[in-house]
Amino acid sequence: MEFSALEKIDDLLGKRVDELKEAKSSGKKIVGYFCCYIPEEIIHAHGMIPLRLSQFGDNNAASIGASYLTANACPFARSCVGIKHSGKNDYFELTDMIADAPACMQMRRVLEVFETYFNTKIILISIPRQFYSEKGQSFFANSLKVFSKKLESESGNAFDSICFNKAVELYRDIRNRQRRLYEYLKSTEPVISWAQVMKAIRAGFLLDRVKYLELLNELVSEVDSATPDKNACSNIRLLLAGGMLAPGDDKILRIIDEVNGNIVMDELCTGSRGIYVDVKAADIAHIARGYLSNIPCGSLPYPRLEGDPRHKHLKRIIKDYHINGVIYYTLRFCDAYSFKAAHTREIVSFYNIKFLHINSDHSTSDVHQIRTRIEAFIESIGNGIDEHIS
Amino acid sequence: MNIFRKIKFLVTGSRLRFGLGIIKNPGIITSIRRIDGRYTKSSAINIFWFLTRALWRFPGIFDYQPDPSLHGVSELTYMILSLEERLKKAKRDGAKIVAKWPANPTDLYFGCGVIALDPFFAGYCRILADGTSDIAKRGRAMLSEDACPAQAAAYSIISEETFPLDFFYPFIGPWCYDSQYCFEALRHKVDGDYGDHPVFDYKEDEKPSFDYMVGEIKRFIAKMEEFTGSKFDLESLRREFVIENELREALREITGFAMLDPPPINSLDLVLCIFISSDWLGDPEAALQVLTRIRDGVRARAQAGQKAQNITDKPLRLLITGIAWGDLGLYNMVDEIGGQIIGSECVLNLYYEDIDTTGDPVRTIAKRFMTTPYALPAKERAKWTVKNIQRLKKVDGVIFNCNFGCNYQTAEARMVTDTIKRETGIPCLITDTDLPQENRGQMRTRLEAFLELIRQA
Repeated sequence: MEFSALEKIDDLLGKRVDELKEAKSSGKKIVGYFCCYIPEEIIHAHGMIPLRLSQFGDNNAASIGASYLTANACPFARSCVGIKHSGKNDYFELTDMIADAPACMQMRRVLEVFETYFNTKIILISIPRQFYSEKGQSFFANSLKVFSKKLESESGNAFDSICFNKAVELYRDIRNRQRRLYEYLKSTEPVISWAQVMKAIRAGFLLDRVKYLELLNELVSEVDSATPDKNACSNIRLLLAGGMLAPGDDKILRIIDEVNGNIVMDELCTGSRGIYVDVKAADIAHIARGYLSNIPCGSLPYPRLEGDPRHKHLKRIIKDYHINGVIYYTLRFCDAYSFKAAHTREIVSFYNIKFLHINSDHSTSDVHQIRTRIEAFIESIGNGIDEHIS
Repeated sequence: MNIFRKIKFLVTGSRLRFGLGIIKNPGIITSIRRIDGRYTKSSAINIFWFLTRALWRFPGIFDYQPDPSLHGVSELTYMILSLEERLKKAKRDGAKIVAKWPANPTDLYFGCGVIALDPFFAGYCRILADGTSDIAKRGRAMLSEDACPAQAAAYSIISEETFPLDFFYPFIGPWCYDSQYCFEALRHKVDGDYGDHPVFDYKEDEKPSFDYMVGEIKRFIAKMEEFTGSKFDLESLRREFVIENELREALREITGFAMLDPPPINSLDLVLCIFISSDWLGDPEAALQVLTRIRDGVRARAQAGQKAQNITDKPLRLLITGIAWGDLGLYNMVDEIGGQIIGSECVLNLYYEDIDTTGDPVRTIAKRFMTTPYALPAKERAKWTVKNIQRLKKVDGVIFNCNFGCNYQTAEARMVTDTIKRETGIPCLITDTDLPQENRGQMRTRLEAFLELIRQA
């Protein structure tokens, strides 16, 4: 089903680079970032433009990045460096500084490479590993205060509580609408596809956030008034979980699509994970708590199996979205996620749901093997459903 | 040398001499400290029989050649090979064994009355004893095909219960990132928690992060009190500082002697000595006796102008940065081809200076955590390494080694070596090693070419 709001999003994305150039020439500062632990509210409140850097998946960039990070680094980290090295990505080039709160320590090194070899201005925010404890959250609040002060001096805009309140409200509204979009996917006869929802979510990394909210409102009302296309529904309902799947890195998505796999939900930091951030009040302490209480990134380890918030979330998704197959996709050398595959498999298998772990990179050398594995996986889910029906 | 010739060499040659050397020095403390602070002693004859049996039980010892004529090397070999059995005995005797990771100061663990075990190095001890990398391969099959060999071996020895372990409590943060996930993947086997080592902009004088670190150490101490059932005593931590400072001093002296011409200690023996600083093989007192003996032996050789075995005349001095090679055979190889390893940056981090014994021990440990050069941003780490190279004065080449699958070293290799080259002009080589014994041929070619390049320069 087509939605005019999505077409408008496409249209705006096409014009975004020019728009950013114009904003930059009028004195606005652009703050790039990679990780979803960066509170955009604070950047926005200082009158700066937050930009989650995108457009990955290019194996050449990953190869160039290897000359800085060696070939044993994760392809996403290598790509970040490779793209910066090429100097051809408009979004990378337009940023005045890169801020990050890297839960992933490889990304910390990436920023150091940026600073060392490309003279990029970087702002690092210390993120605690004790993300679930009060002490950890208060430590993060301190880090965010330091971050806010740095932005104050970079932007020349003093901290203004009215702007801050407005920013917190804006992002709360955005996340509400994003959650609403994901709600539609729970239905076995959804009117909007997961790919369309992903497109809308990822547009939020780049677009002007005020305009973006308007478009989300439009999209939600369009979807509300649409009727499902029953022919497009499938009994096979896949969850795509795992590590970093950056915009542009669509190898796995293409393969799943080619073999008629039907993804209905994701558990990705570039997809649904960010939408559950809940900032309850407009102050730094609540922002820190809101971000750290969200479903944690795999890069932040949890010391006990019992009560692991990632597992709880996974179980909830499986139930709410009627999942019958999980594809767990990890990038090579991403130990944060690949080391978790065994425990995740156990959780998923407990519900008698099929699980497939794919560990790959941006190259195309393993496309055929992955296709065969996914085909067989989907077939096995289909057989299971048929057996259940009979 | 084939296996039969090697056994003959070990039994009738130098091995016999070092066996007799033990008998002449009975009474060395070489067993694990018990929870109540008492020690049991292994007699020299026990060590001799253990090492004799080792010929059959630990085939891996045929693969490397320490210098048996150096005093203390046999005891060190004993400590490495007997680690597993000594820990099992200690556990039977009621001691608590807690896992740490390489950069975590051992003082804190031993000072809290528990035995610190570094699964990373214990895994290597097992590989050394077995003579194969099978445990790392099994660990990799369970963990991830991209796991670094040290993590894979560590995972294996814990999940297969090869080494006893009661609790996991590493401090995690800015170095050896993979270890936190290895620990997480072992949650079904061992209970645990972890301390948070904050990173980035914060230094000791920046109150929030320092206070946070102090809070994390206090939390660790409280957990250890609960775990051992005994009240923590600040004095016992301070006493531990004193013992381990002596150990660090001994290591610094041994490293200093390695710089002499002719070198009185070969690469393998030096590396075996400095490796143990990761957890003192479960027994700091015994380690101190062994290292003191080795240091005295090295000093005597230095005074006599005696050169270590296996080493060539006027070897080129190489410093290993990054992670030291886990394949001990490579150290023998370097000696053979005209090089000499004079230190390893990763372990140097643990003994480069003493811990202050005068101030508040908890704050002292927090400071130690936060100033460990390895944990600093790459630029500062590189500066520290350059400073040490300049201090050592006689470094001919620097090797930066990355373990396959190590996310940490790989990301820093270029930044650190570029700084070293720029600041000192010393040639650098980045190597990438995986499971022990698997790429010795390639490494030999690369190392020979590197040494040739240095000579021409």
